[in-house]
Amino acid sequence: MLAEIGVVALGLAFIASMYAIVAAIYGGRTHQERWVISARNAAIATFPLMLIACLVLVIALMNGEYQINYVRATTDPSTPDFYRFTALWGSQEGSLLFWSSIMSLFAMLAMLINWHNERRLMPYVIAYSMATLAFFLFLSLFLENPFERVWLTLGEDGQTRVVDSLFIPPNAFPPTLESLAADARGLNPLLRHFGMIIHPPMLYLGFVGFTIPFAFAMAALASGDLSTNWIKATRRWTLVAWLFLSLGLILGGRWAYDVLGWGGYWGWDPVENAAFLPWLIGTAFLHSVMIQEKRGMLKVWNMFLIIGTFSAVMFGTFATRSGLIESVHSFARSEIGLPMFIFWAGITLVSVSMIIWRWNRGELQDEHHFAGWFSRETMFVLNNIVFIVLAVAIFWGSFGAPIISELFAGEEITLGTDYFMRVTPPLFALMYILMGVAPISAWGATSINRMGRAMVIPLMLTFLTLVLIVLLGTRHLVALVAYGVVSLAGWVAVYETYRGMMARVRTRHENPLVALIALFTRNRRRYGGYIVHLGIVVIGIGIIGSTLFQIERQGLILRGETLQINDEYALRFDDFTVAQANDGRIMDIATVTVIRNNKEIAQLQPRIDQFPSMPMSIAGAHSTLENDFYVLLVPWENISAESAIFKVYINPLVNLVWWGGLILILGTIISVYPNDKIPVRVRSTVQPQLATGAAWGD
Amino acid sequence: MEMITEQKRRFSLSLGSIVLMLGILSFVGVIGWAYIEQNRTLGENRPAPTFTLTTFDGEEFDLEDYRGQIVVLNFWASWCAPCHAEAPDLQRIHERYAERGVVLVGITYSETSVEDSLNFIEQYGLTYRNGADPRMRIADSYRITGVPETFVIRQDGKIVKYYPGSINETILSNVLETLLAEDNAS
Amino acid sequence: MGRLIIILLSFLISIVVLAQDEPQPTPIVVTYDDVNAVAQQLYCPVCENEPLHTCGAPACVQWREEIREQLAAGRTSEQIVDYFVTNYGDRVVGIPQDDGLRLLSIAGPLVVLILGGLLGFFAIQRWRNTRPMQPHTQHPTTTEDESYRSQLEQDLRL
Repeated sequence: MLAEIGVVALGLAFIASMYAIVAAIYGGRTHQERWVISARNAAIATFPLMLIACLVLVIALMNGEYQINYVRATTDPSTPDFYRFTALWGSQEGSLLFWSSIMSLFAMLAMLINWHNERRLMPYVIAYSMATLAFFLFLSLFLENPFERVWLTLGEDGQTRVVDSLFIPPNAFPPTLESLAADARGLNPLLRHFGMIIHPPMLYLGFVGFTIPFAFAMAALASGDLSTNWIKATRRWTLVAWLFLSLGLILGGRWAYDVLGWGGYWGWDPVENAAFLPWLIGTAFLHSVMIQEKRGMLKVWNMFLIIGTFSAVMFGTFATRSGLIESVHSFARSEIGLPMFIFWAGITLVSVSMIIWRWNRGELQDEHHFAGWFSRETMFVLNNIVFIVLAVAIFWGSFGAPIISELFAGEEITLGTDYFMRVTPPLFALMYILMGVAPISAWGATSINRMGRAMVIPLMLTFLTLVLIVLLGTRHLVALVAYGVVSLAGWVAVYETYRGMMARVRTRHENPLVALIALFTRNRRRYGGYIVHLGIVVIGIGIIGSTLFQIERQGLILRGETLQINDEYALRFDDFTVAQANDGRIMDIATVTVIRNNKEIAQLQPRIDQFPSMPMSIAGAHSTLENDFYVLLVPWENISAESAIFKVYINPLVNLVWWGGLILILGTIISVYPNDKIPVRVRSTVQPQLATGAAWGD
Repeated sequence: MEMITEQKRRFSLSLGSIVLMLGILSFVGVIGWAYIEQNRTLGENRPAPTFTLTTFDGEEFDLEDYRGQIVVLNFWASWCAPCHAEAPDLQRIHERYAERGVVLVGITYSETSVEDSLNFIEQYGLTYRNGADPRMRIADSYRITGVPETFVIRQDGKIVKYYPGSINETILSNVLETLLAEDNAS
Repeated sequence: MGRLIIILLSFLISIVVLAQDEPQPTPIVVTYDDVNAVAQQLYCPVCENEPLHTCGAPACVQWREEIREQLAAGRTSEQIVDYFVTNYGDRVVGIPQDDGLRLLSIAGPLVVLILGGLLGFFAIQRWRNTRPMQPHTQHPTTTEDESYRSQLEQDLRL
């Protein structure tokens, strides 16, 4: 009964989304409001239906309805409740269902929030968002149905046959509960980590979130309302999607760092890169829309960027789930590859054709021209070039070159860290430089002198920072350049905020704290953006430290003996125990002591979990802001109570990557938070300024 | 790419659009082609890719020369547990069918030293041809994704059966019997 | 005394000669770190995109053992990497060693960067030179908020 409810809800949602597409387009074309409203209601209705479908699956997972194939594949009787719940997105079928549910939620919110302001766009927004939803529901319903159950039927020859089916086939009966439970496989042990539990939903929220700005952009093209309305309507949607995508990437890194046991957080694996591509293009879009908002320029380019972001989302989904690339992370190959490819190719081609259509009709003309080389427009264009080149280079490394090489040269190649660490660092350096320079340039034109003057103090602060770093013992030239470039961007963000605050203190005689708070409430987008920059700077410093100065040692230690890691650190192997966890897995636990300059600083317990499918090495880490001392038992070597082989990583500053992530979240939330109305008093005092035109917006 | 057409817009709008469209079409096309290639397992009833192999005994084996005979191709490695499990079965198949014209060939996959392979051969007393695959060219042409994998190639050079994963004597002998029977019938 | 010296000398010489007759093969001690340093440059043959030094697959364990043996035999890191490339193709390294494929890998992004830079330059140059598409009235998008900022700016300039 339970599974039937799920299937029916899923089917109804599919029908509702198809209906919404037809009704919205018909209503939009013929200007019949009631059809559009009907389409909207159908679109909104998909969410409760999807909620029911998800709820059904969750109940099935929690109650161990092992007759449902998905439940049997992702849980077993020993699975704790928490992982039973998260098994909802633990495998292909469930994650597709989950994806569709988020999509319907976002679509509903867009209908509710943007309905009154964007009436002209709405029919097409419904059509595009529902088309995306309908596609995913089609996959869920016909190819990867999470509610499929296993049945036994008695054939004419008296033999029982196993049948997979959604509804009960004639003469079928369910297998016994015992046999079903014995067949249950449980969640992949690699996925039993908090990072993996929240990382996929975050990524999906990010991916799905970009559907809304995409749908608005397409609606603008379809309806002919090519003003900045679609950009204004979707600014927050874009930021929210971007926030979730950033979070998903950071959490994914954290998961890799804690669970995969190779001492790093980013392996330039094609699957990671596939999720990074929409982030890069989306970030370019975030910046470049500001030019269109302020100056009415780059209209075509912005269209391309949002289509590129959405296309990259769909490409990533297709590439990682279809077997286009093979990777540790990729889902098992399945039948959804071909439909995914068709959808991705179709949506990309249709979108680009629509831009070309409007463009040829001359409807995407820019309203302004570039005033000067040292303007914020120029900086943003350069920023866009850097992000797009980064995206292309990463795409090329993960997909382009291997594909071309295999198709045309018949040779399989791998482009790994060697490639990415050669190609991307200069581009990231350029990105940080622009991040430092752009905030002090103005819209329209800035003189070099003025920019130079604004740079003096941040440059001095950067210089002081570098002196400090050198005094702390770093002589590595590349590292110093990298730290310099990154910290300049940070100091500019800090100094610009300080300048704004001091200006308020001077003109309005507020105390600095009040001035700072007022500054943020008056212009959340700008100062929230600076905080995001600061977060990216902190992440950058963490990446430089942990990449350039990582120490990696591996060695055999007899129990009671000590392995010298470097001049400072040593590791002593104290004890070894075998324990059994509550879910039955055997754990080999070593107790080790970290010694720094002959002083014991921490005791750690790296362990190996013996899952039936594979052994998994769980690192012990002594984590400080300065570095992580990260110890692993090497799972493929012999381990005994007498001796064990350990792998040690010392990752300097790696925690800044996570702290930077938190700052980034904070900044984005400030930016997204709705603006207060500007008090009338302020408005009247600044009114005469309007004519001077020295616009210093964000 | 978008910038190119942005640039050309002034001179010839439609040309820029055409270039852009063609560019995106070919991009999508290449990805689609790669996807099809990647997922094309050498399914049954497709001609077997030809290759030459230098066996560990120093003999040259050319698949072309065995047109007209049934060839069983087995990819294995000494580090792979299922390969160890199926090795005795394969040897028995060789003993049973060699005189009836069935040729069994073993090809090692991602093996670092010849010594490991030779030890494996000795351990199971394998007497059929075995050889290494430099640069994994043969494995690539057969789209091997792991070991063991076994292909049965018919007299006319077509793959009739493909087994990703281990195999046993019963399955293989059933297939061979049918093929030999078909051959006799025709 | 002279005889003693002669005896001593001949003794010493004989030691040297003996020593030369039996050259002591200094065993090369290969640490895990040495193996990892080479393995880091290689990729797992079975699980694609997994660096060899962190891979637990049986094939990888075997490969690392091979690296250890070759290092013990006195081969250099480059020779070992070359050995693997010759035997398993360019897929085992992070950037192909074959000149053509290497060029393909590296030149791709480089061309894009140069193209992107040039087009960006020309685009901005062109936008700078063209007249505005519509008469430049006042900033249509200027809001109170921005003017407020510009007022702050003027204060700052003092």
